[in-house]
Amino acid sequence: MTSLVYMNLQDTDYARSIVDAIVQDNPHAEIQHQPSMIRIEAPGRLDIRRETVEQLTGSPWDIQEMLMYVITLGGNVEEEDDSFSLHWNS
Amino acid sequence: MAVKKRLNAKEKYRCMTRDLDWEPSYQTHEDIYPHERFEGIKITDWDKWEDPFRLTMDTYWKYQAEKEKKLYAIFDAFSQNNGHTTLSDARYVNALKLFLSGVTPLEYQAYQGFARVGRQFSGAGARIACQMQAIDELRHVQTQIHAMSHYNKHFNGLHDFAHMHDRVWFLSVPKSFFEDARTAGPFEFLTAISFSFEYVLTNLLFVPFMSGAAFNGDMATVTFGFSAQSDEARHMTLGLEVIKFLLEQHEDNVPIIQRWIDKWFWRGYRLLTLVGMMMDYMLPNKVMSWSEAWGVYFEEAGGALFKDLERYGIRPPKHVEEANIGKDHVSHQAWSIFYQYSQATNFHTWMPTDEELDWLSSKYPDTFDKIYRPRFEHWRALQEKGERFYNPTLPMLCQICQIPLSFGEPDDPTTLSHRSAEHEGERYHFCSQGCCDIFEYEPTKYIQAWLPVHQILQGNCGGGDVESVVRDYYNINPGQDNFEYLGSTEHRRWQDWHPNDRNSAPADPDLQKAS
Repeated sequence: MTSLVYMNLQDTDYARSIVDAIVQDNPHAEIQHQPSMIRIEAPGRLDIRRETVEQLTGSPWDIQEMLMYVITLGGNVEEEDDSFSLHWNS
Repeated sequence: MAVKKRLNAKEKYRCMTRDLDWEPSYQTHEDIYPHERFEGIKITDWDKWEDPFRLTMDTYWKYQAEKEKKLYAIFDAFSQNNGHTTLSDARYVNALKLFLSGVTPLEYQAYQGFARVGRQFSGAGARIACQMQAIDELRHVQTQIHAMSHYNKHFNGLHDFAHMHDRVWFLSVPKSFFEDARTAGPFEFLTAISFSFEYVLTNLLFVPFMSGAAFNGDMATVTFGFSAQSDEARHMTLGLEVIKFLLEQHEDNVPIIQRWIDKWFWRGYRLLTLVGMMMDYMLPNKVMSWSEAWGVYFEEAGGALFKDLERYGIRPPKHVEEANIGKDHVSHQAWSIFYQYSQATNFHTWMPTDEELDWLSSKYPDTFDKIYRPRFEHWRALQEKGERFYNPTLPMLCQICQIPLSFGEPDDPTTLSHRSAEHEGERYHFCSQGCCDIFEYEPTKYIQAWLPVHQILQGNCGGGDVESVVRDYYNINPGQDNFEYLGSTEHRRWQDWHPNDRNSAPADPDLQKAS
């Protein structure tokens, strides 16, 4: 069985756009709404792309701004200029 | 003419961190970083250190400043709108008293620990990451104290948390945990705190409990909790990177790291018993049970993590099966301890309502009705007769985790789990095989433990009776801060604020009293 990577984001207006972008780019991801937070789980890998977030919000976005809204995450992190990914190697 | 491109994040990180480091010319590495070798960890190339968040100091300040502005705006809104009056119930605030005196001082210890190890590594990447984490931890201390200062105006038991942390019997559990880590070498400290604690275990405190705070109307706590967690995501990633880095540097590191993982998993697991009790008993509006939280944040997330680390020769921590069995027991066992010893705590305890007992029965179908519910119903019946139970004896503490011996055997919850070991003619006692193993590997460290009950009995904590120790040595106000919740001044004050509450029968002060 592939391990799940996950990320919890604060349930705020801005973070909801990031969640929408994640859903668009990761059809295999599952979204759970919990009090004041949104949990995103996906088998193996999860990618967040700067372009998708920018398209949804209509304004420029630095990938590191994500650090404002993340509550927790699980998986190896790869941060690039245009994307942020979580994955397990196993 | 070629136009100079803007630096991308990787280049900027390299220029603003590693490029600021220099080779010493008139002192040796060994003299500058004297702690780097004695633990037996072998580092062949610090340049292999990868910092996944390529956060430079300028970006760090920018984001941290923005987080603080958002956070303090909410603190102001919360206190201006008397947010404490719209909580689910005043019982909830007792979890905050435990948090402020038990957890906030750990943030300060984390700050001290990371400031120290940030000095001791010769790799610039690791130094920068530890330096940022040290500043983060200091921010967490400050924001938590600020958030709680509002509650301190309206509730008891929050007035002297730092003093209590240093002295009160159950607060030696979190205090000694962190002191154990801070008195270890720098690599063990990182394995203990960054990896075992931050990556594997703190989610259980800061994620479901904070979500629970939101669910109980505590806007201030959920906000500082999640603001802290936004730093924690970086700390967790540091924790995982540290482990991978150490394991990749040299195969001789593997058994050392494995032993630290075994030790610090068990230490952390025991410490989190307190959080289990906060989740199951101190949140009037329930989000998830401790057992469910353990399933999601340890069994599932930790399972994926250890599967990932398998290729380095790392196996899941020793005694993990016992911990997984314990998820259905420890919160009930801990609440039983605190209920009995409420005369000596800076917060109130109570027996769950019928509705809450039913919730516990449904969440713990295999254990609660069989073992814990009858005990709680018995205590409630005593209380209704005006004989609220307080245990008049002092408990026996585990030499390692310092929790009273009250856990059951993993294969038989009705038998007390008790181990002991002899060292230089003295016998030492433990709550579990996990704690006993830790002692046997480093007995000379743990024979020095400051065990609160021993200290009281030796006369090192003032007076000869519990009440004077509690009043004079702990600075807990008897009759205000401690004892049963029902009938307490806090309960009565809450009812004054909410005269139309469905539980509006006047609180009976007699319910607090022992027979």
